[in-house]
Amino acid sequence: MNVNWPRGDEDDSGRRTAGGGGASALPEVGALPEVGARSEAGALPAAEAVSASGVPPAAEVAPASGARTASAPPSASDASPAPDVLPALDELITAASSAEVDADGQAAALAAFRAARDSGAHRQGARTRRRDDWRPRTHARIAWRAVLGTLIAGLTVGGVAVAVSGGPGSGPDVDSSAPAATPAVPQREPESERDRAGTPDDLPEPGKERSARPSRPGDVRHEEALCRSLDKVGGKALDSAARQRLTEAAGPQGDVRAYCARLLAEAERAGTAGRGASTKEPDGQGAPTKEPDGQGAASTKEPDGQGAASTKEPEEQGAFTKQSDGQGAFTKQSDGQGASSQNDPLADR
Amino acid sequence: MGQQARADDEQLGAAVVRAQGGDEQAFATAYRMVQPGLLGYLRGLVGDEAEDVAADAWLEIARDLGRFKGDGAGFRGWTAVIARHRALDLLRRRKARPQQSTYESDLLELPGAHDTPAEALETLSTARALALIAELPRDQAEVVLLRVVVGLDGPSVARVLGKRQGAVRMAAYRGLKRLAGRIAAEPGVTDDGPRTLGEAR
Repeated sequence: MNVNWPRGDEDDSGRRTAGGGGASALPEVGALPEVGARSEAGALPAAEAVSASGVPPAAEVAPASGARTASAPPSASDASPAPDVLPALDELITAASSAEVDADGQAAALAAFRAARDSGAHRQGARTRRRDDWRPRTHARIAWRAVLGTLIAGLTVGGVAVAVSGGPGSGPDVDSSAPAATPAVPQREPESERDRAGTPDDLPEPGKERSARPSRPGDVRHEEALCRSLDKVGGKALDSAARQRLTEAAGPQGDVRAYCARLLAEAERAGTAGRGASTKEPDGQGAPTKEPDGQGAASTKEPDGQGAASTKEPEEQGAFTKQSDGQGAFTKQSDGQGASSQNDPLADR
Repeated sequence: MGQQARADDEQLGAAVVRAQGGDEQAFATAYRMVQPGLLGYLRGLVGDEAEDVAADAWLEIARDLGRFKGDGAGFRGWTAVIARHRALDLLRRRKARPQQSTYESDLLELPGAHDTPAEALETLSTARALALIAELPRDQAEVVLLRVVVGLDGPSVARVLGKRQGAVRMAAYRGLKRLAGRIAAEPGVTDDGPRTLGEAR
């Protein structure tokens, strides 16, 4: 490698040292070592070594080493040498590479060009294969990304929308059936919550209850929805956040399928009572669509908590001791229980 | 270099369009603009046989010119793919790794082809840089060569190599970092090679 320097220099030292013309190239020569000098101060002794080794054109090496000294101080950022090397190399190579084109090669290429042109290869039969198409493809790429994103969003949100029929997913649906749907959205919350809280006078205390309660059915229904989409898309396509939520909900043993089966069965049971009635009522009304839904959610929820409490009483107790005992008890007791942990947060809230 | 390259690419794109229309001079222009980078890239891949491979590639380029669609930058990428395929064919035939550091002979020849000392010096330092790049591991060398010598952008490099952009970025980063170390350590290798190399890390 380093043999090249001396050898090249000796070969045309006469020509090289002759003109001041070499000075025009010096910035580029400097550009190379400059990059190196960033990462180490050893370049300085190295440069001295070169000039001391008796290479004739010391005049050229000297300015270069001068450039090194000048650029040595900002050598701090050792972490990212790459971005700086590129422009330096870039400049160096583009400045120089334009010169070297041999006439023979060009003549041969031109001959081939003429032959192809005259045989009509450039006109007919010039089918553009995929690898020949180098047009900028930003549009196509954006379109693909949009389609893909819509599909994925449709899969995940679609499942949610099926279960939470009163949720944000149903906005467009209501829009299409009843024009007065948009005002229904703000109406929905106070009404359903008043129903749930049972008290029209709602200042500080019901306010707290309100903030706590709606999250309860939401959780279960959301997991229900995730379970449904899990069934539909077959697990893998479910995005990681959704899957994690399900595994969390399914508890330490993490049997998502079993958990989902149970959850969906419960939802079915509750749904025949709650939502079955609600779908018939609200047809033309718009706002009521949401209202019974809140009830439906409340009704699905309550049996849920109760069912859990009734079927798994020991577990519920475990959960309570868990809370009072603290974390040491938590790990021990919850280990064997599996399903308890997913019911606990629901029941506790 | 950015703007200059873009202006370059515009000129190249125009030349390619005219060449596709049958303009021989325009094809010669495109050749002169593309060939140096292509040759540098091929030297990194196949060493001494770069000229032969480039000649083969240009036969294919001339033949398939009508199929190409794209601008100047695209033409660089398209020709790089063709040249790469030819080079890989050769490597497969040779069943050997690409020869590395084959620039020594060029160092002896190239300066003679130029008139002014400045040109000679430029060529010499270019050859130095190319030699250093060619010493990198093959994948890194290819990425750096395509970026720096052929002048492709990141996505185009990824397309030429059939890799994902992240992989290309990583290879470029590693290659350039290693290159920076080599460049720094290189003049004193005989005297205190291990020390400077160690410091360059």
